[in-house]
Amino acid sequence: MLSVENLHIRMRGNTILEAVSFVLQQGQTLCIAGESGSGKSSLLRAINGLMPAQFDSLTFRPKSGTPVSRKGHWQGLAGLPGSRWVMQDPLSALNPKLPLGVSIGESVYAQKLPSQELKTAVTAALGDVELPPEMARRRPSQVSMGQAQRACLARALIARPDLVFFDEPLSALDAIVQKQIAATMKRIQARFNITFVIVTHDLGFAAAFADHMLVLRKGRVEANQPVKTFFEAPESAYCRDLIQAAHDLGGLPETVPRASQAMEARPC
Amino acid sequence: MQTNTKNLLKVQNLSARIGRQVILDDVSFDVNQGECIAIVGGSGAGKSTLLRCLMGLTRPAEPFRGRLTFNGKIRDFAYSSQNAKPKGIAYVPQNPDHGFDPLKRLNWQWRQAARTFAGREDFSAAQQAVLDELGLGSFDGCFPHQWSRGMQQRLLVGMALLGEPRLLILDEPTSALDPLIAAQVLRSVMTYAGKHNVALLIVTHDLALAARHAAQTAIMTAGRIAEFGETSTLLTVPKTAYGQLLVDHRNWNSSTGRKTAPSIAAE
Repeated sequence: MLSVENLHIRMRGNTILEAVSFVLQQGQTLCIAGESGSGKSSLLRAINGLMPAQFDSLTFRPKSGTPVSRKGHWQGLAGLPGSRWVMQDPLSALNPKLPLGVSIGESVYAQKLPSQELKTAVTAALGDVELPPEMARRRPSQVSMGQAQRACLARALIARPDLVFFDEPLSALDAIVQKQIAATMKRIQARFNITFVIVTHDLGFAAAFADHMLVLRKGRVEANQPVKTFFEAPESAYCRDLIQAAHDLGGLPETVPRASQAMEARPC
Repeated sequence: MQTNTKNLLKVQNLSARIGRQVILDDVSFDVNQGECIAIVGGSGAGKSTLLRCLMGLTRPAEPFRGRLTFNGKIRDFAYSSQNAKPKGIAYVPQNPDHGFDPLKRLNWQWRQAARTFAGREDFSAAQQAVLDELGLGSFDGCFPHQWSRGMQQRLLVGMALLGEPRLLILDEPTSALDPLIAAQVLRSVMTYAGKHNVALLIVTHDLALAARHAAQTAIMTAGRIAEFGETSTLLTVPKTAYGQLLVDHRNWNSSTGRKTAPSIAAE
C-alpha cells in the first residue's frame, strides 16, 4: 500500500537519512524506532513532503481514490491524500482557543458538511476513541493529557483515513493511560483496517503492536525486518543492545528472548 | 523510638499541603540500608512532592505533620518550619536540563558541587574515582550541551554521589532518555549503589521498571500510599483496585489483550 525505495535526505552537505526502503501492506503497522536524532521524525516529514528528500520511488495506493507516485527530488505541501498525522504532544497539537469538537471538525473542513452532519460525525469520532460526546464542548485546557490525545486521535479518524502517522503518540502520557490508549488504537485499527506508521522509543510497545520494525541510527537503517524475526534474530549488534536495554528497563515481556545473559541487570 | 540498625530512613505520617489543599496525606514508609525502593504512581499522585519533603524543601508544598528519621536523626515536621536539608540524601532531577547551568562549563559546575560537599576544590582521587565508575572521562572545557543527555544525566548522578550520600533519590530516571542510554545510566548507578551500600529511591510511573529493579515498591495515588510491600508479592496479589490496574497495565500485551479493561478512570 505504501512503498518507499531508497529515500535520502541531505541538508547542507550532511546526510540525515540514507537509503531507507520499506513496503507496507494495508492494515499493517510499521514501527520506527531509534535514539533521538536518528532521523525518525525526518523520515515521516520526508514521506509527507515537508522536507526536501530524494528517492527512487514512493508509491501510495489508498483504498479509494487515486494512487500517488513520486520520484526523484520532492518537496511540497501536499501530503499523502487520505492520511492523517497524530503528534507527540496533544496540548500543542490542539488549538487552545477552540473547543475540541471544532478542532476535530476542522479535519474534514474540505468536505463542507452541513453542520448537523458534522455534529454527528464528531460525536461518532469521539465515540470511536471512547470519549463522551460532551467532550466536544471542552477546551484543551479543560481535559487531561490522555483525553486530549484521544481527541487528536478522533481528529485523525473523522476523516476515515487509510494511513495514520503517529509521532511518539504515547510518550507524553503516564504508564496506565499509555496502555489504555494503545488498546484503543488497536481496536480502531482492527475495525477500520487502517495502516499505522508509528515512531516510538519503546520496544515493548513495538513488540505488542508492530508488524514490521524499522530501526534507525544516525540516519542509517540498522534493522528492517518483520517484528517476530526482529526480536528473535536482530539484524545488527546495535539492535541486540537495544533489545537488551528494553529488557533492563522492564519494558519487554519475558517471552521475548534476551540477547545476552552477560549484560543482565543486577538485582539489588 | 524503636529503630533497628538496618533502618536508614523512616517516614511516619507525613502530610503536606499547598495552601488549604492537602497534597500528601499520612504517608509512611521505611527504607533500609542499601535497599532499592520504587515509588510508583500516576501523574498528580504526589510523588514529586514527597521527594521534595524528604529533601527538606517547604515550597510549594509545606509539610505540616509527621516525622522523618534519617540515619538516626529525627525531624518533626509539625514543629520545625525552617527547611533543614538532611545530610546524606542526594537527588537527581528528572531532566538534565534542570540540573545544569547551560552557560557554565561542566568543569566549573563539577568543582562547585565538590566545593559544597567536600569543602575542597582540587580533583582528588576520590572524585576521579566517582567519574570513572560512572564511565565518564575528562571534561575538556565542555558546556552541558556538548555532552549527550545520557552523559549529562550520569554526571548529575556523579555530583549527587560526591557528598557520599546514604540515600540516592532518582526522579523518573528513564523518562527523559533513550532506552539504550537509560539502561546504561541505571546499570552504572546500580553497580555503584551495590558497591558502596547506597540505598536507592526510584520514583517512576512505570511499574515495569520498578518490577525490574526494586526490592520493595510503594504505590501512590491521590497523595496516599495505597500499597507498600515486596515487589514480587505486589505484582502477584495487589491489594487495592489501583494496584490491580497498574499491574494489569504493566505490559503492553496484557492490556491490549484485555477487552474488559477498567474504564478510562485513570485519565
